[in-house]
Amino acid sequence: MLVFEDYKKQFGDTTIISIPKLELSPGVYWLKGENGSGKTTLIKSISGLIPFDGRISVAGQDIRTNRIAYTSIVNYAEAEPIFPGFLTGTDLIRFYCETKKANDGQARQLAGVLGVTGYADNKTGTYSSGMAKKLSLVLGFLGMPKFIMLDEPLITLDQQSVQALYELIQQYYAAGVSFLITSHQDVFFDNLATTRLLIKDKTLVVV
Amino acid sequence: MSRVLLKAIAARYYKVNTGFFLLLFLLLFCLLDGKSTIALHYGIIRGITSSFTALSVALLVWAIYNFKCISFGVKEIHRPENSFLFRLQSVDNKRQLWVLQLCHAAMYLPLLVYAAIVVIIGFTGHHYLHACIFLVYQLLMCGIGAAVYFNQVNSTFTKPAITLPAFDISRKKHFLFYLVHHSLFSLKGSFIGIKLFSLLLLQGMVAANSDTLSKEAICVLIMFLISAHALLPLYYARFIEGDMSFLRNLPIPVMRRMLIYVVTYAIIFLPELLFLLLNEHHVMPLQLTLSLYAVAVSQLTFYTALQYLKSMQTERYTMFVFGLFFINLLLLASFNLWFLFAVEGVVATVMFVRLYDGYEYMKSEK
Repeated sequence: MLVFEDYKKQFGDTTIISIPKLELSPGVYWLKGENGSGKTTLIKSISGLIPFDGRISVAGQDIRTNRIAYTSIVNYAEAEPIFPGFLTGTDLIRFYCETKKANDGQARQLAGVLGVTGYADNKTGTYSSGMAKKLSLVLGFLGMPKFIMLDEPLITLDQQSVQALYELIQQYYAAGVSFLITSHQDVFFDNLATTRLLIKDKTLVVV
Repeated sequence: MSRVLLKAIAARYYKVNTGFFLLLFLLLFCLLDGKSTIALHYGIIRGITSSFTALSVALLVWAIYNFKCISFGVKEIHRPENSFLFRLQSVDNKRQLWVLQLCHAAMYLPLLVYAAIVVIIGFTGHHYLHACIFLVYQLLMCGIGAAVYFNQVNSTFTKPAITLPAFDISRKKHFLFYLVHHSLFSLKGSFIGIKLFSLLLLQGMVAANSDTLSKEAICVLIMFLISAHALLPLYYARFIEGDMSFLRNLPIPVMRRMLIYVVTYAIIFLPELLFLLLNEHHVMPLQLTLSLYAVAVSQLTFYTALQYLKSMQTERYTMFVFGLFFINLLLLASFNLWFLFAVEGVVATVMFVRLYDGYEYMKSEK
């Protein structure tokens, strides 16, 4: 599912994280690591937000050789999402539907489950951090992803939304979607086994 | 306390406006030789101190600059990372006003220095009334700045008396128009300022060449127009790569990503195009006007591609713009404008496509 080959991310001369070779099979992964260990950097690399050395491929698609196909199947929800204040949640959902080839039904369902419907028509500049977080989760599930990365999905969410998110993850996993979740809080699924990943000594290890 | 304010607001003001000051310096002190420059400024100062019309124009210019400083200061106070400035609420009013006054004066300093020279020359030339009016006016300008900041810092719990309306030009926002919406939503002040400055430049150049327009005058005109907009590519690229970084995780072709900039510049230069079409059709053939418009759009697109170079900080970019100003003047004078438009367009496209994937936005650039 997710393959790293000679992956390395540096800031200046400092290596943040390096993964010589690693292949992860489909599943739900819980990525742990201390603050500043490089979790977000790794997730941003996989989602194509920042440049890196080496190769990363998801389900056989390499971002360097086929960006469009790659970003069509790899979704990402940020830890602390920021959106341009002039857009409404609906504007963003429509835009994601258009680019990720999602249908209105899926968008409506996700917005309903995560409780975004009530405020989606307001400009994102008026959102609280929890509201922006829920919108980012809706956007993270849109389309036909094969791999979804959720960076600290539980922070700022109310209890009801946390439960809804757990159910969504299980539902999407059952449909063949893999997940990479970073969280400092414990992640519990009733009927789903998670594999723990740890960033240790600037590399990624399966625990 | 004043040191923190100077660092957080005044120092950032000069950093952000490096391009503006360079352009102003170029306009005011580099176009003519040394002797003529001194004569020009002495003439302007004599005008201010002896004619009420010139004095009124000067007061207006000083007020516009003061407005620019105040808008920047207010925006900075409300930046999330500067929220600690609201702790000033616990300082007594006198001290608050004093440090805010210092901060504003630091931003207003360039025109304050010029004003001091005007006042000294006014007094030595026995134009006491004009000199006094100008002096009192400067104190008023500084006072207004401090009062506005004071009000902003201490009124976090009250509703603002006036708010600029948000321009919502259409309900459904197309991706290609995101930057236009952003300009009308978040960059209202800077955007309107740039357009006014640009149209003022245009009016000045056109008035100076009312009967005929030489090729040299046209080249200077277009380079000034472009330079007046040179900060926009910087703002826009940072906005797209910073606030809209999620776009990189969406399956959008690189050319479409570049198109968002091109469409924005094509829209932004429409007022200048209309101005030239309406006012200058008797001295500028339609083809020439259109080619000027095309060069302006391709030049800003090229400036955008420059943003994707590694470690392109504001200072470095300003140097690029400064250097390109002279190179482009030469190129414009030697080549056909359509040819230049095509070459710049191709270079910008190649650069953008090649640099896009390797670009990494740094938060410190904001």
